[in-house]
Amino acid sequence: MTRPSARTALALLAAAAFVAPLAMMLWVSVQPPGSGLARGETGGELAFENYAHALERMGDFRTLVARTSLITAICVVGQCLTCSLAGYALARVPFRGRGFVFALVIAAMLVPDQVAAIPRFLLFRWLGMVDTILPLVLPAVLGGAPLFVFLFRQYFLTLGEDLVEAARLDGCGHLAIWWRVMLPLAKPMLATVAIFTFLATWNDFWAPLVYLVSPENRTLTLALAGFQRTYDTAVEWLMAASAVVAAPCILVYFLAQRLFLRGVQVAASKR
Amino acid sequence: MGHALEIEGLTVELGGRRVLEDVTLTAAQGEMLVLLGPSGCGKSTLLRSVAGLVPPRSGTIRIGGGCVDDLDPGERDVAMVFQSYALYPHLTVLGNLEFPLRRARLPAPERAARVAESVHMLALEGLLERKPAQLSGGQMQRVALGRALVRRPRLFLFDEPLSNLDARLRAELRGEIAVLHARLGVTALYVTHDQAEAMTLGTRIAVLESGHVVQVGAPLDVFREPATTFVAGFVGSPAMNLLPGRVRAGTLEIGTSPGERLRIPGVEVADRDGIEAGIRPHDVDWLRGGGGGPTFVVARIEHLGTECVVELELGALRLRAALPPSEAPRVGDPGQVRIRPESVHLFDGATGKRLTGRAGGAKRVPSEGAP
Repeated sequence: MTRPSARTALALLAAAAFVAPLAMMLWVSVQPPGSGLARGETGGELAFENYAHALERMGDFRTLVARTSLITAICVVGQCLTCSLAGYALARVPFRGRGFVFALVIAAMLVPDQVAAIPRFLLFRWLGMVDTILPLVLPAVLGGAPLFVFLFRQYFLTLGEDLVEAARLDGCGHLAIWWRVMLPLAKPMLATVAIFTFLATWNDFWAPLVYLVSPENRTLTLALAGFQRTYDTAVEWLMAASAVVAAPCILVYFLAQRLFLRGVQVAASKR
Repeated sequence: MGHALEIEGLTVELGGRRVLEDVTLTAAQGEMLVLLGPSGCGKSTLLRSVAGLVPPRSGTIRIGGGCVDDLDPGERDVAMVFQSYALYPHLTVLGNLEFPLRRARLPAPERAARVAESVHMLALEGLLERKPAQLSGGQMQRVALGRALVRRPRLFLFDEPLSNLDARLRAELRGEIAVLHARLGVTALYVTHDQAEAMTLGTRIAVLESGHVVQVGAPLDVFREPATTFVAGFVGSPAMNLLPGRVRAGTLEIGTSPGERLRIPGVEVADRDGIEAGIRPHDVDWLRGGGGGPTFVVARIEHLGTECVVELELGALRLRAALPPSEAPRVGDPGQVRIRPESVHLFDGATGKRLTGRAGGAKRVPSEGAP
């Protein structure tokens, strides 16, 4: 086997590993309910009506989509703006203690979310924000993603300092430089952060589970969890609902794939 | 004539290192003051201090008579042309030219008029809709010049603007900058390490060495009367020969070994040791036999087309001569040299400072900023 064909085979294998669960989800989603999947029995006619049943069982599907979209949109915009602003400051605004702040950002990347979950929950409860979407969006709006701050900083460092100086001489303050010069040049990085944030927020189960108590405040992922019951989980309907919920993620990834890859490459390149 | 730029006692430190020390300089209205020096001498830092991009440790900068120490770069009314061009990659040429005017909130008709004027002056028609990535180096630098011009600032700052261009384009743009400067009569501070640029563009040249201004003067004055051995070695191509020597009874004796001394009589300096003699290669005449004095041997020849630079050896003594191609010797040829005493520059060997105008007795030309 020549090297390129070995590489192709490896790539196909890796792709299959990722595609298989998706294919499985789609296939199961159109199996007739109670067709004996649990016993490994399949076959028979495809049951596309599973989708209608699944959406009906999720409750007010439009409201769920609207609420999840709102949270996701705020997180995507907030994360892009605040992380890039923080990244710009760490890259190009000289201030006392900048190195220390950057070290804190790096340190924060090492802390798993779950470690901060309880203190964070106590804080939001003290602020009276539990059972609202605020605990889900505020961290994003306040630049609470150290990895993205780090990525933006690295990216802005690759853009020459001359550009910042030229803008300062042309009458820009730091905010104007960030908005008018740096952000337009950071499109690949913005796309990367937007896609990562979109996927993470849209698919997030943990934070909504912790903070959203009332059934009427549920998000899509919480509604999906509603399919799982102790004795009668309708796997076909769960898969149908999951396919619907996952569709925007897959669509967004394919639409922005090129930008996404460019952003990841830039982030990976050494400075 | 009033001073468009006054720099007084400027000291700058970067990362704990003193980059500029007590620099005092002025530029008259309409003057092109060139800051010349090798890499790391502080010339770009001086320019960036004037722009407000580097905070000084002490000193004062006045532009158009007003102190700008507390003003942000954008408030100083200066425009800068960068070595890297620093064009905004996401904007078209038109967008780049308009950018500073939009920031200044100029009305659209005024903006259009100023852009049109710059476009015409720099022949940028046809490039307006292109992005910087679609331009050649020369075109990018033209756009960068245009972006500076549209602002009509009180002071232009050029930070080695031609260094990234090839030799032909550099000469072409150098000419264009000279024409623009003469036409607009603007005051400019121009940083370069290229003495040809400094000589051709500068109304005056300020030579910097290790953060100090060592000489300021008209280009030809600096060339003819270098204030120190550093200036002597830096200005002029090929570089001036700097050789150790002494004066005895009106004769300059170059070289340290008794048997290998080149003697130049007619020097009007009292007897002294520890002299550094500066001789431009163009002032060395090569005699193929005949002529008195010690015999040099040709060690190396560099053919430059219009002339050849010959390295001559006399024991440990090495002397460069610039000769017309028709007089080019061959490596290994013996011969004598003739040097007119009035063409020799004398410097103190210990301090490097100039002793007299010329060894032949011309008066010293006082230079601003000379130590």
